[in-house]
Amino acid sequence: MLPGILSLSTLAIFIALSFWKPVFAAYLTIAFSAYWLFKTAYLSIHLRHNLKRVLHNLELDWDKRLENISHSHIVHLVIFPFYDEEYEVLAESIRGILASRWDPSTIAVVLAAEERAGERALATAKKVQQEFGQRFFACEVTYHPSGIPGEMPGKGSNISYAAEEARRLILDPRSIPYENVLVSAFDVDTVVYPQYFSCLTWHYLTAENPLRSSFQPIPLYNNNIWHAPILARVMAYSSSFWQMVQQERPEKLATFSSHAVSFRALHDAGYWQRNIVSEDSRIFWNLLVRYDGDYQVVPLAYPVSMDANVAPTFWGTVKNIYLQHRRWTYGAENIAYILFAFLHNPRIPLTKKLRFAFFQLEGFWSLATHPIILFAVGWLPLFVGGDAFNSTVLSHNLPTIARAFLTLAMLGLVASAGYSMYLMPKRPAEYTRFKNAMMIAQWLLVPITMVVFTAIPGIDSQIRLMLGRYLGFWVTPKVRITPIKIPAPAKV
Amino acid sequence: MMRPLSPRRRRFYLFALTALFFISVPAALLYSSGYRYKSGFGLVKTGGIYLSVPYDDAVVSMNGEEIGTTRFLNKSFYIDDLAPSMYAVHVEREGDHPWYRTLVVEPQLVTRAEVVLIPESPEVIRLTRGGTTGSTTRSLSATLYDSYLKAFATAATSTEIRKSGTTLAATIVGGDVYVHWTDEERVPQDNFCAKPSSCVQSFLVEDGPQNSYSVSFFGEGVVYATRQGGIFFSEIDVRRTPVSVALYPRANADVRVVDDRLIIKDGNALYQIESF
Repeated sequence: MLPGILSLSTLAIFIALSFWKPVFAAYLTIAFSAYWLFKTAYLSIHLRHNLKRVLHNLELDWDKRLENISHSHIVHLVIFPFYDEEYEVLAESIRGILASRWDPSTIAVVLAAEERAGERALATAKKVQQEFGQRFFACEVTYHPSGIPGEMPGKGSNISYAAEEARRLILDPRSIPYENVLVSAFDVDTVVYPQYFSCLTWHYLTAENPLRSSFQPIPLYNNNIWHAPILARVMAYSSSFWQMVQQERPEKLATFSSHAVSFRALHDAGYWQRNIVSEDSRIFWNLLVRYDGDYQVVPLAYPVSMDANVAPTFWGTVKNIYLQHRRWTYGAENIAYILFAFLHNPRIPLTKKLRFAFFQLEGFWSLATHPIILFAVGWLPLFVGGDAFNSTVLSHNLPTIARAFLTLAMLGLVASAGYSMYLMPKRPAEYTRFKNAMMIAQWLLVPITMVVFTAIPGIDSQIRLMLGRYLGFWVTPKVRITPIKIPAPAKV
Repeated sequence: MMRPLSPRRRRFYLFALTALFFISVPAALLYSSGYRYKSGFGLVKTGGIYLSVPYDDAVVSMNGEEIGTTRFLNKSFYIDDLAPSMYAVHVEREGDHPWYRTLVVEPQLVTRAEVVLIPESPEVIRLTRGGTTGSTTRSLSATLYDSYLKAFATAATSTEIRKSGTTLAATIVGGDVYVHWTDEERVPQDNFCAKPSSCVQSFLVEDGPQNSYSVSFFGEGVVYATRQGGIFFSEIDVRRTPVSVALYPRANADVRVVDDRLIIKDGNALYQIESF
């Protein structure tokens, strides 16, 4: 309820000021535009540094770095929860693992099908298991029963069931210590880059406290990026860039989408929560509370590749992007959990509680309100401020000054356009250089996408949480317009 | 191996950008409110002039200095950074009466004016009931012609018009033409204000020796008929010097505005003055 109240009251105050105190509202708009400029600059510095790290880490020989570290005891458990995605989506992800430089004989794969998706999903999993299973240390198909009391149908309940099945079928029979098992919880379309497992293993073995850490790769949506429509591309890279910025601010980082964690920690926490939408970020909060605040996310600065959100039609894509971002921004549901847990766990240091609570509240408040203030509500005084306001120098200067700040902030977008080209896989032969130009020009859409696909879904989610109109888990459809190749970023 | 941004560097960036924010915001707020630094005077509050010139190729000057020429896509001028004072604005275009206005600029306020250019020789066309259209005559259907004639059957000593969300009224009292700002809830527009902070509800548009007997709103002003001098157009503006020109200088002619057309009746004949 709190995020919704904060966001709606911010917008309401802004609108009320525009009518009754337009001068004050205009001052706020100018100050806010300046804040946006400097915030963009601050984030851009982080993004640029992270880009350099990612490119560096992609070039680095992680196997060589592991040479002097004992790592033969490490088992990678990769779980692919899925719903009704087609065989090709799942198969590509498995091929990605096999094409990586890590020995598959130390990797266990769990294909987590759901009963509610029907026999076809099970058949898909079994087909993949049959085709690729023997190349792995183990490959199990789990079949999450529907209708288990206390569960919400969705990824959280499915992947938790799969993790427990993996313990029962793979780890315990072989007496593998949970501390030696690194679980990669992947979305079904996650294709690893060649050194993902090496990079992850190195970070796990060198982490200050590996059993009190989750490991976060950068989700790039490169699988189908060249085939995705313009809106999908902008949103995909915007999401990736946000994660890259967060990677340089680990104190603000929570797990998101595909992530990794030791089986020890996972088992201690009772796996992912089964009755919520945002199980990917909630697991971090579960673990933070479970270990009395002694838990962190280690940024890998190494990517995994996933699908940009694409539907067969333009409007279908628009709808899917909206629904996907509504699901992501529904992560505001964590706030109530965090505050409740913080209130009831005196062992977590107060400063840590305050810091995390502030970061979370500020994050969801700003994503829902800032774009709307900057690109819509902030200009209201000009239209509703009345004759007296319209005859002031301030009303004439408001658009000029605010626009100047926002135009300068657009330099951040220009930088983003450049950065995206570094991370993009090689252009397929069927596209001309014009497509490259479009990949740059697409960033002009950001002011629109920020409002339509970030702020509005954010407000939508927060209102739902306020009113108790809770969301179920919406499965992002994975549509493959053309088959993918293992992604490789462009060389610097 | 490349390390993440160190907390120290991050703190440096944060402090540097925060400092820039706290420096730039007050500066931006002062600037946007009209504050300017003037050598010898320190920080002074300035005002501005917003001039709307809905014509192409009009040359705009202020205090004798040319500011610019209007073009198809550039028909307004915002002149800011003006010290509070009086400014003589002059707009001229070939073939039109020049437009002069003395505008008072006050601190932190914008003085607005809309330029009205009247042709030096407005085209007068005689209207006929049927017949043929020539270079100085226009043939109208009997119905239309009769509707124009009918408009003159009733007196026009007062009129109202809805403009910019408010109602303006024009009345003739003792042979003089007054315009009124009827909406007491709203601050009058700039043309009712000698300076932005000092506005009137009504003022005289024509107070000369001539006796007016009919008045109508037309374009950005009023047209009125006088017993001595014929038909006049005057701009509605309390500031000096509003445009006032004789459109049809023949005594006892009368005028009406019908369907936005300026119709003149002189004896039994009807004329139309082309729009401007």
